[in-house]
Amino acid sequence: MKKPKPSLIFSGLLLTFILLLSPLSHAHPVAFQNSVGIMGYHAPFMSHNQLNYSWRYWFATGVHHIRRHSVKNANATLGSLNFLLKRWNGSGLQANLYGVIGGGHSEISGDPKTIGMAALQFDIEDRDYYFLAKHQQLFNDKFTELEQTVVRAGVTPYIDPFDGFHTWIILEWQDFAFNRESNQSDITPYLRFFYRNILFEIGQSFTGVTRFNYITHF
Amino acid sequence: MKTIMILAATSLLFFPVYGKSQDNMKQKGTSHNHKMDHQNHNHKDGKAEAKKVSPEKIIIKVKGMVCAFCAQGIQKNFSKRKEVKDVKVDLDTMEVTILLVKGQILPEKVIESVVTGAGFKYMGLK
Ligand SMILES: [Cu+2]
Repeated sequence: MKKPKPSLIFSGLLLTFILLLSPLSHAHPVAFQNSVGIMGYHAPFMSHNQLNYSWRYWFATGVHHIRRHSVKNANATLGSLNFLLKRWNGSGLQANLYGVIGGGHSEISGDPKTIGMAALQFDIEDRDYYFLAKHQQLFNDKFTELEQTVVRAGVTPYIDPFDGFHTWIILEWQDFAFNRESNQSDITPYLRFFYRNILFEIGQSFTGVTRFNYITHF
Repeated sequence: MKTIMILAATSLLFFPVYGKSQDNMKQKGTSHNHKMDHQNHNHKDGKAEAKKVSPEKIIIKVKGMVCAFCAQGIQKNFSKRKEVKDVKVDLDTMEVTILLVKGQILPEKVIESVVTGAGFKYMGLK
């Protein structure tokens, strides 16, 4: 039997990895009308997956699953209302301000609790550069269960028609804290691969944390 | 993990070449089409008449499209309409080409509402 090419094995492994983890990301809380978005963020300490349905280009509803990996059964399941609060359309340029509010059930803190979620995200991109800032909180009636701030900037070394294969280099600063424990910050360089409706990012922080992000819309 | 990153980084080096060559091909293609357009419609008749005549091909200008997700949003929103046969998006020129089903018309007001409904800014007919 012929041995499969290493590149094929690599792509296969990568795809299996993505599907298994189905990670979610700081991405597109709202997309085009009647579209479904699945996106994920995955790090060794936590993962956040979400499925959104956009009713309008400015409004979507979402379901989230958040998992804290270091604690057994530390999951949170939430529903959210996602709003595109403002969009600026320029010549080959787009900027967005998103607001997300939600609520659900969480065992992230160790005790089952009803929690709320709030997030604010700003992003601006043209075909060469990309910038995003996001702050997200999960809270119960007594304290903040999870606080996460993300700032990232990216650049692409080449411009292709939209249906081509796109590669981006992204640098991300992230700060997070569980249950008012001390904050942890790190910086992660990412490679983003974007082909048609699949966007995938892989990165490793300077402190050794491996991260995956994934977005798809259909 | 490092191996994956190295492989990924290596793959990155190859894509710019691929990307540029595709870009060139695309540009050639576009200019070719543009010439064809000019042969196919009669400039002497003036713009107003061209709009009424319900051409099978409409080119519009749209602001705010930056990536494949944007392009898909525009394509899907137009493709849903029964009058539309095909939609092409060119991010370089910020143009959207709408091919209509024969005999169908798509009023400019509808075009504008589809564009704004998709979250972008309509800049008029080309
Ligand atoms: Cu886009």
